[in-house]
Amino acid sequence: MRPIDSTLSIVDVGHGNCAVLVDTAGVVVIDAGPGTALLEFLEQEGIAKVDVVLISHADKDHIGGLVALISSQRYEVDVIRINSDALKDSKLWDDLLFSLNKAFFAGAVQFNVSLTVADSGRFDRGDVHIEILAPDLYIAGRGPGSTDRDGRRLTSNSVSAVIRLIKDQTPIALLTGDLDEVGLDNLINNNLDCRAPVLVFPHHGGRPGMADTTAFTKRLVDLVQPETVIFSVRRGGQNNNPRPDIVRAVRESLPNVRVACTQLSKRCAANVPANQPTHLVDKYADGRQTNGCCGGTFVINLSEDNRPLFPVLQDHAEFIHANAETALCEEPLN
Amino acid sequence: MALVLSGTNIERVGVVDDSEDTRDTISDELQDAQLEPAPFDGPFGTLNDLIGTVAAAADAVVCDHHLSPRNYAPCTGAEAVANWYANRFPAVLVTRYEKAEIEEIRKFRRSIPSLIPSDEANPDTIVKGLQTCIEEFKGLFIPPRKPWPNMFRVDDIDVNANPVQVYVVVPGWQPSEAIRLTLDMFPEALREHVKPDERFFAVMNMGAETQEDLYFDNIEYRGK
Repeated sequence: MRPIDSTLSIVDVGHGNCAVLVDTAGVVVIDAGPGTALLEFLEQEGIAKVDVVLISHADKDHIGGLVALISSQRYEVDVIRINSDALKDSKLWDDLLFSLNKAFFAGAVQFNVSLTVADSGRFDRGDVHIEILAPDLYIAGRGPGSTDRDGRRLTSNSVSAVIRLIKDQTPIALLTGDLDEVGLDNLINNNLDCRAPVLVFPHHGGRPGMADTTAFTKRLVDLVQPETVIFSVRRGGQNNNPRPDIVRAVRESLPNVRVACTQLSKRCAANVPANQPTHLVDKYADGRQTNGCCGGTFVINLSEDNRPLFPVLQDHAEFIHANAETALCEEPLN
Repeated sequence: MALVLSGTNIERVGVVDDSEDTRDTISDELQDAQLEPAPFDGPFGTLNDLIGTVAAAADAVVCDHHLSPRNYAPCTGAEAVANWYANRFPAVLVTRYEKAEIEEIRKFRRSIPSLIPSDEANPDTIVKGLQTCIEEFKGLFIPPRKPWPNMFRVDDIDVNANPVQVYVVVPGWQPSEAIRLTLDMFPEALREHVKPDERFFAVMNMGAETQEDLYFDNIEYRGK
């Protein structure tokens, strides 16, 4: 019998985050960006059951798809973990908690408001070890709205879960949610090994709170030492990520790094290509319909020893070269 | 003159509009699309008369939303298109796309795959609209039309409006956008629950790009 192909997909959900780990013994979703992208992705992959959903924090671009997933009643969802967030007074957050609470009492889902370093390994569903690097118990216990030991205010982003995936003792990817400077300091202070070949950059390449953006970026990539940095972004809209200073800081810190965005930023190309790009992987991507993808959905094949990342660098680079006249990832560095 | 759209042969296309000028215009567009127009002068005495007459004489139809002002037909185009859709007869609705029209149309929107603004009715949009409709009959939905069961919350209600307006939010779609429905879209037995912060469940096209295109079908009450 052919072994199951294990994959980690960084799904193009537009402005938001979503990763889907298909492992040998189950499916784990990490963050659920807005709209129906996650639903479409699962449907296209023929996935009917999600074993675990881990949500980094309570922002709408990380939870919107979970409301849709739970309400859709098309998918069986076993375990859902998220941290409580007293700062979040949004109706969406209330809608999500309402849905999850109902599902819990109906016996449909194991839902709990806790996702901390103490949960490392608890959600493994096959060969991949799911390591929770943040928040630690102190920060999670204090919670958004309070302060850290240095008296700095903890926001929702400060307590964002940071998740590292490891297979056969080798790191695969680091998913950082919307980690901000306080969260990064916490990560560094705990002396945790955060290295990973693929870094999904926090906050979609937007401003990391009040921090010096360049300094924050350099500290982060120095900690992670990635070969590829992925920005999960939407073309257009009010965010217009990733920020040029962040991309520049990444490339200055790691001259050989591959910078890759899910969608084609307007900063990089005024127009989308006239024709459907041919380099994209054959998986759902939010930008595909409008030819708005840059890398689209990224996939790491975990069944192969070298864990290749798709779309492959050469095809993606050719696309960028041909279609992104002001590509931030190709901008000359001084 | 004929086209094969998603495996379905379309030759004669009915043109339903209370204005002779508009019937002529749409007929020209159909001819440009290599289709044979079949304009209907009306009037039609009943909805069933309209539905049956057109279905018997054509393979598909392009229908205007406003049919009653000149006593052309005793129904709206939206109602007619929804009936054709239920009978698996390809139909495209043409509308001026005004806000008031959108509310009127929304209660039938689940069964109206193709809504074309009047000034955008041309061979390309009409053919594409018919194709979208035919594909839905086969269970193939374009992403903006695909049905997903989902939750919505009542944000506000205006009982002084006629008809009563209900403002709702669909958290899994655009959590910051209020969508205006009319109370009569809710099943009668559920209307007593239509109050702020009450939550309902419906089949919706969660991939819709604008709120004008959103439909709400099979509404159920979920609680507070």
